[in-house]
Amino acid sequence: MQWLKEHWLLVLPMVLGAFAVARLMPKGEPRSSLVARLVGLAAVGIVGGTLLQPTGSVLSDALFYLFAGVAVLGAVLMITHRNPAYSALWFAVVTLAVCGLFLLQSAPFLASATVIVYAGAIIVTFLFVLMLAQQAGATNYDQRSRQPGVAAFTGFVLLGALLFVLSPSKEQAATRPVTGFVSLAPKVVPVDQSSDQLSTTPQSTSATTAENFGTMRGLGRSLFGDYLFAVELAGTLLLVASIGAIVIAPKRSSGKL
Amino acid sequence: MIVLTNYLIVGSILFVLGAIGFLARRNLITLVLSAEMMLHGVSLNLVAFSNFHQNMQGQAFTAFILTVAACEAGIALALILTLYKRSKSLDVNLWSQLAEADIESPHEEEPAVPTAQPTQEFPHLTPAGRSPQFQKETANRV
Repeated sequence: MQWLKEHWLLVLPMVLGAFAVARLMPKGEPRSSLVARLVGLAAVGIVGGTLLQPTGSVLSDALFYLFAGVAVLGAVLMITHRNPAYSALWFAVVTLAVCGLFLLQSAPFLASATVIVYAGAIIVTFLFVLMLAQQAGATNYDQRSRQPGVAAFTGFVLLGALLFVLSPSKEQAATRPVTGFVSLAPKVVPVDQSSDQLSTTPQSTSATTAENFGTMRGLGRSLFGDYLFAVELAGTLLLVASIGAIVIAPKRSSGKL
Repeated sequence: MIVLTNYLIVGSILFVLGAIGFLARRNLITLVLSAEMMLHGVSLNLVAFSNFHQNMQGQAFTAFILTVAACEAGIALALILTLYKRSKSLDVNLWSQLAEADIESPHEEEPAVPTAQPTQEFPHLTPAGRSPQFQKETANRV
């Protein structure tokens, strides 16, 4: 009880969000979902108002809230929409919002690559398959989800645990109001090559200094310096996956396109 | 100053929503899209930590996540096409007999087809000109 009284601001939006998602999931006949939408917006508002910490810079705060709100609302609409084609389009919206967050975190190459790969390739092919497979329009299995209450309960228990860990406790908020993390703050560990001590801060062999952080030059140095073998493996993985997709895909009878 | 926790919160929300979609939906394509959204949450975490530590390793890992996601989408689409060719449907419940035979089905049998059929609409012709007046003698002649 005492715990619940202290953390009701965390428990309440979880309960509201689970109710809203379970209610918004398609289940049989279409029903009015105005209450569920309002409850879901209230849950998002409570989480955003209590857990997110403003940085002080108005522009970056506004952009962050915009992109984060679009990402979360688009995600809810994606998993609850009755028409899978609209789900794919909402997924494109989520992808664009996540790319905006990437830009805010000074990862411009990853933002553009994600737009190209996801919105340009993956969504388009998924839409092609949808149009190939569902030419009759709305189907039975899209109107009925599989035990949405249990799924929403499970998911929001997990989300509550994650947010409980992520929410800054009182004394941490008093000491470090900006990040909320004390133990994870980047420590400057003197690089000592002779002693192989385990340091918590990941060390890079190629010099990624602060001035080329976030640029394509820095990412390229990291990819082709530290992770050269992993890049080769990723290329091999792409080759194997393309061969596998060709093998798995249904065969055409010869002479037909 | 970038707050790390904000991005971790958004990433975890995306991850959990993708998990809920994966558990609850029945369309195969929606399932794969939900899995891709879970990958979005994870890569948002990685990019946030990369910016927090001011080195490029998180971004390099996100590039690998992109590669794996592309491979996954290709193979998933090939599998979905094969399954669709066998069952003529994208319903994932049709494949629940792949489990052990003596385990009861996890989903209850539902009454079928609540889909609202679109109402049939016939074309209407707008009346043009005067409507013909039947006269008594013509009717008698016929």
